Amino acid sequence: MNKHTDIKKAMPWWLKFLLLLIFGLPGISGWPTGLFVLHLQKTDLFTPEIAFICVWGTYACCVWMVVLLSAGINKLLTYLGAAFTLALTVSILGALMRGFFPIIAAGMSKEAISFKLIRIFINIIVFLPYSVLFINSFSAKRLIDNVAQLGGRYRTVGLHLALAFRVFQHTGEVVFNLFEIWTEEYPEKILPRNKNELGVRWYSPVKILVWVWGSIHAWIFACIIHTFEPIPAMVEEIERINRAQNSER
Amino acid sequence: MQKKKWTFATTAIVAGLIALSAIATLVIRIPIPATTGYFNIGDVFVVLAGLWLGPLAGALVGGLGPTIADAIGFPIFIPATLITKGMEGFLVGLIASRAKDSSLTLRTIAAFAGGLTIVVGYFMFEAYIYPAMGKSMPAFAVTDIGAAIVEVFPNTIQGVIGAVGGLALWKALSGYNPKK
Repeated sequence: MNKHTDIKKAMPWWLKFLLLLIFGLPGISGWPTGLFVLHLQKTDLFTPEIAFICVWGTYACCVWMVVLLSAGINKLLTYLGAAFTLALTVSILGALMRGFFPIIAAGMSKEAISFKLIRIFINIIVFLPYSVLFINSFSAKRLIDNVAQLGGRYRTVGLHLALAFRVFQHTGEVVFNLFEIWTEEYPEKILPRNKNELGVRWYSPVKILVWVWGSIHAWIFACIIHTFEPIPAMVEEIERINRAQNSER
Repeated sequence: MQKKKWTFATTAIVAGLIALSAIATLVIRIPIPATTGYFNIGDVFVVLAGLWLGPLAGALVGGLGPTIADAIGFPIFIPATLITKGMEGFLVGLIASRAKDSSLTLRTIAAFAGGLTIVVGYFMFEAYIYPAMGKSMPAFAVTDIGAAIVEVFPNTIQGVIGAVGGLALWKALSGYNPKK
């Protein structure tokens, strides 16, 4: 299953862009998945909730299949790991906050809120792997090489866009790598340090807040440092290409 | 007011901040069922971009980063986020660009003005614009004035966290020069 098509080299970029855009349309616009949900409801075999889960579950499987075929099983599992963690965090936080601050639910029924959380959960597990696949389907290096052949102002604008794309791709990789590294080497950033003490001392839950703050703080700074670390080298390379092309003309 | 030249280094930092604001918006999300919206800490990077690089960079980071995050889980909020957070970054950058040297007073005002922008901006969208759009496009009929009032409090907290976090990061990073 580790054999897969290198999507960066497959088909012309514009065709790939178009196909990926069409493929991701249901995630953003809700079309045509919304139509399928309505159609299933009309059969009277499904409640609106089950119809939604059936249609979006099928779409999720299609997205994962495309990720599997184009990025391989290891990448798919990494993306799914991050997507499920994120989706669970959002759902659990949503459910907890609804308990602490009932006003944020504004009189909605428990069922309606739960269904909203399920919708968000499904949307995240579908769209996160898709977004990462979209960004990683194009080669930044090839884009820079192509843009460097352009003339005048188009080249400068193109190089700016290519550089932005490269940094964007790099940041995406940083986050997934950090996620893997911390899961394996620094599990205390993922799991509350005092999880064994929770029922022992009355003030233990307060320590959760300290852990949450420490983890957020560490995540933000690690992300910033690793995102900005290679930027000088990237900028230097783009400036060199720009200078070289300018002197040639 | 000094005008900074837009270089390749600026583009790289802005792209990094767009990605980081999208990630920060994604990682900590607390859904608010009343409006289908959510609380997040992505504003920290929007405020940072405005303070550090000016109004254009602020508008780009604010308009693009959180909007990308909205596409994952909350696509209905894309138009509101694009305009509100774009305005937030622009306003922070506009006010902060009038500050002299490393003066903190005007930058603090800028950061909190950004926070106020999201409270007012989302309220306008949720109370008036989305219900009006919902009449012709039912997908947007997810909020009303009551729900918009409910979200004022979490948005205020979000604005304050964004302002304080953005100022702290600006103090820590404003000396960074990718050409060194």
